Amino acid sequence: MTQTRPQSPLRLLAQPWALALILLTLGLVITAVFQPAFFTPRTLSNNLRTYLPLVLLAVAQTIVVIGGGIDLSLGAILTLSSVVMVQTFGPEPDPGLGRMLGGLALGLLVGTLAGAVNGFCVAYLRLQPIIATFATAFVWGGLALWVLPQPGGSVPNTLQELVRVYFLIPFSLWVILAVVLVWVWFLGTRAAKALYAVGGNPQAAFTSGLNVEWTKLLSYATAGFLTGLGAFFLVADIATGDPLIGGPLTLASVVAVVIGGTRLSGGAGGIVGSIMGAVVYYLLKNVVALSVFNLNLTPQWQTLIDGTVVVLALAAPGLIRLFRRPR
Amino acid sequence: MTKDASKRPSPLLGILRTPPIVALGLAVVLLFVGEAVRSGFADYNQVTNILRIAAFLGIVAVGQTLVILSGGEGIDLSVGATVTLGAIIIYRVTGGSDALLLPALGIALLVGFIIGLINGIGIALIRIPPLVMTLGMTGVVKGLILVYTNGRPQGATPPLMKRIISDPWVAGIPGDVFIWVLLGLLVTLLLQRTAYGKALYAVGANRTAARLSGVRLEHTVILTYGLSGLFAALGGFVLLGYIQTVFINLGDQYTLPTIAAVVVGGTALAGGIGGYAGTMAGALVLTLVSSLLITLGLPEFGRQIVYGLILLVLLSVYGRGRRLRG
Amino acid sequence: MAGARGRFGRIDAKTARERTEALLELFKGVAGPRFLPDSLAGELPPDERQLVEIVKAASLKPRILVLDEATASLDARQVERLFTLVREWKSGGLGIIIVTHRMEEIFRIADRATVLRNGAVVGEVKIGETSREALITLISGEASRALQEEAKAAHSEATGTPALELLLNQPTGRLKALELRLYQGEILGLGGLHGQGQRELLLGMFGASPLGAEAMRLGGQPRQFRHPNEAMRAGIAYVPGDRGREGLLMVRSIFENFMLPNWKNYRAGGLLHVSKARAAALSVAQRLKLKFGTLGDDMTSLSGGNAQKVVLGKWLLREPQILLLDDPTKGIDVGAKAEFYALLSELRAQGLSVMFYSSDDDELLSLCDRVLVMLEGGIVAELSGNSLSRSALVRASLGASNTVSGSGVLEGGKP
Repeated sequence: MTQTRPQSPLRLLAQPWALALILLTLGLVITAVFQPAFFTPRTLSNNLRTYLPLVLLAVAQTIVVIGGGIDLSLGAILTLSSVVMVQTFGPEPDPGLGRMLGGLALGLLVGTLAGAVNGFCVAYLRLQPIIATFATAFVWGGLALWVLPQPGGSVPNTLQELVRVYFLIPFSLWVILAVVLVWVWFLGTRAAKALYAVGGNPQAAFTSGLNVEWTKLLSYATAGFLTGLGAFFLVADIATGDPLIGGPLTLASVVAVVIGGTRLSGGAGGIVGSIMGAVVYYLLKNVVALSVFNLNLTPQWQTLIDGTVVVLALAAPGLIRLFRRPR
Repeated sequence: MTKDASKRPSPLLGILRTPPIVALGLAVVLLFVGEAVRSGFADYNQVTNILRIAAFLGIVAVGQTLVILSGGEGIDLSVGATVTLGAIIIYRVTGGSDALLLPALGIALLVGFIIGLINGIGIALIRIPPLVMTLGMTGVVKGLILVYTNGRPQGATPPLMKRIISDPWVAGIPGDVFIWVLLGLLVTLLLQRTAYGKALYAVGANRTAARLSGVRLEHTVILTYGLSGLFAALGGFVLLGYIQTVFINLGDQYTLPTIAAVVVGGTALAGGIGGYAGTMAGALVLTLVSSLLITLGLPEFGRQIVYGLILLVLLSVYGRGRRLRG
Repeated sequence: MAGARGRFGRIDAKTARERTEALLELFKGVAGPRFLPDSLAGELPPDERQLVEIVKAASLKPRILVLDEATASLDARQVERLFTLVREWKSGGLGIIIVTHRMEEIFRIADRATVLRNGAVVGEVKIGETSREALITLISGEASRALQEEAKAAHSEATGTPALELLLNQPTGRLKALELRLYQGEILGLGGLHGQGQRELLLGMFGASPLGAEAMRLGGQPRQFRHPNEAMRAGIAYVPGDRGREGLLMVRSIFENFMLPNWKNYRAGGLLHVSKARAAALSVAQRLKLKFGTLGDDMTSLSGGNAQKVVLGKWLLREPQILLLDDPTKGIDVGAKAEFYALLSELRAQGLSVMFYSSDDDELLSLCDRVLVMLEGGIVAELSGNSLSRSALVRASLGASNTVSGSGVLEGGKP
């Protein structure tokens, strides 16, 4: 791909995930200057635990986007899956292995099923992914409100301790590492070729004998499963349930994908950029909070600046393209 | 390629099958269903009340109609927040003074228009997908509202607004319904009888062909999003006249129904096909469904699920993509 | 690629690569340097993408192979190679159906031909027992050769000031440095193999892709177009090759398609004068002998040839001085082609300047006063008068020769 491009020191910047890398470095440097305490193992571990659900959501979104779709219900699926888990765990701090595994399994199942329903709407009913998943988001969100009308419930102590394990590196990093390893394995399979082919050109994939609909459905179901996993790490971290928690994470997952260099038009991209993108998203938020604090602004400013930073992050790849375009 | 002429329906049947008429028929059916479920649902007062609420939804949905017509997965999710901002600006700038109403309205419309233009620039020039751009913009507008109000909006509603918008003009029908109908005529004229309208349909139907026929693609798209913001702010004006007070998430609940109203009205989500008459009928259907659900005593989560399902069903009827085979 | 599965459900990358290479080898020498297993399909030119399609189909080892206009985007050498392969496959027992609109291909490769018109079989012939004339008559349903002969009759000499001059001093996009002049009242052909920059050249002149600031002169005045809108207002019209994708709004009415570039001429105080516009659209539809129901009908109700008339008609309403045509007769039937040729001659007689790219050498030979042959983004030959012959066209297309007409050699396109 790069062999025909002119050799130049800027070649690194031509990589799809270059923006994520630059922003990551920038975010880390600014944080290091203004908030050195951020890098103590304890704080780092806590923060990574907070980031983990979005990281998984970003990976989920990437898979759907590569397959030519988008899922705007991931936040709602995360919510639904998390309230199902919390309700299954029950109120006791130590409900026994059965309930714990049952809650985890049920939550993952609900997430996968919700994803599969999205995939069915998009692949078999041939609805536009953006608007169809926007609609299903309301269904999942409504179901979550039905399962758990008010924030509440609790999470078994064992699970809370599990995600706080620190073995050489924080638990969250082990999870991310595992996800990346599975992804690397996946890239060599026929399923991966099918996913990229379907996202790149569904018509060509169809005439090549690929099962386009099934591939799409699987991509959404996989995203649902990963979102369920994200829900698990979320409830284990915050130790309670909330029927409205996932909403903002949908846009955040799209932002992470865009920052990570995966084109929303499908057929290209990868999860590593998106993982960086998710971390960048939180780092930027942190930087905004730091500046609002240091500049003595009212807390109301934070929402405005956060929103503006998100829009700028979304615009960055396009802006770069706009200025790089030959005149 | 050629259509079988013998299969073409008769002209009358053809008109009856156009989405606006179908949607209007659906509205009438819903009215009867409501009356059957609970007598009094179709009373004159009730119907004018439904018209009043539908008028508000319909006004906000003007922009959504234009944006969806412009194609390219066009959609504006920032209308809800812009409605709120528009209402809050009028509330605060007038501080209850009739004399300041006109300038306040002007400022609100201008701010809405600028927000829309920024959406349009992000979408047409920077190529951010519309849904993502406008969702991101929602966050910015909410931030603006918080900074502008410090979290607690202060001001008052000018009494004149009540007389214009929520008081009955003729036969118990409130002013906003007349504003809506007038707006409907103007928007239909805009779409059918102006160069902008024709360019909008062309851009929605086929961007490449439109550009190669001299249509200024970017201008059209940016202006369309600008208009969407403007009409959302106008919606804020009407909403404020109706409920007389403001709060931080006043308009949020209207974003989804505007999209649903456009889709019910038969405007294709792919762009290039449809019109505002359909959206008006769609706004009536949506309002009727909503009051029917309230009449049935469905809790919040149930209404949310039903809304989502309705949208899905409508999409399956109107908005399906092309088959890969054939 | 099929049948290269390794352990753990992973694809055996080495085997898959070897097979891909073997398949791509089939078209070695007739495809570009990027025709490699690792190239992205989307970055290949259309003809090579078509070749990928063909080898992909062949790799499945079918018993029946359908080639549906598979040669439409291929150049002569690629078609030649494909036909060699088809003959091999045929002797190997493969049944092959070829759908094509190119008459000579049928006679070169087919054993039998079935003619379809409007979805019905109108005839089936053995190639050995028929003639081109007989087959054309069968296809068109009427004798249409006379019209084509008539169009050829009125060649004229290009003189006076050029209506349009183009001078690219340096490579621009896919184009090399080149220069050309288009005179008033002439049809200037663009020839060469497929995808040699003809499309880019026409789009550039129409302002749809950037050319240099000083590149173009219209009637002696330098002009730069940054948008098709500006070119359109300067009296240039462009008829794209891909009607459905680039020329028409398929979901809108015939009327709106006619009016798309013209609405601004029917403004009366902010609003549009629709009845006046309708009258204009009707008159141009009649002039083009458009076969349609009503102006309000969807574009999809028209056949390919009639749809192309709408693309042309929308520009004729603007009365352009310069007409740029990008392979306008691709995929339209013989009868509509004949009508199109007649119209083109009529327009030339009215003083229009036409630049005409065609993938069909016969059209260039019969319609054009001069033909510029393009290769790899540059102009390699100018043919006119006696030098304008089929053999010269083919030789120049293949880059085999730079012997050109007496009027002078154009060196601009030298690689």
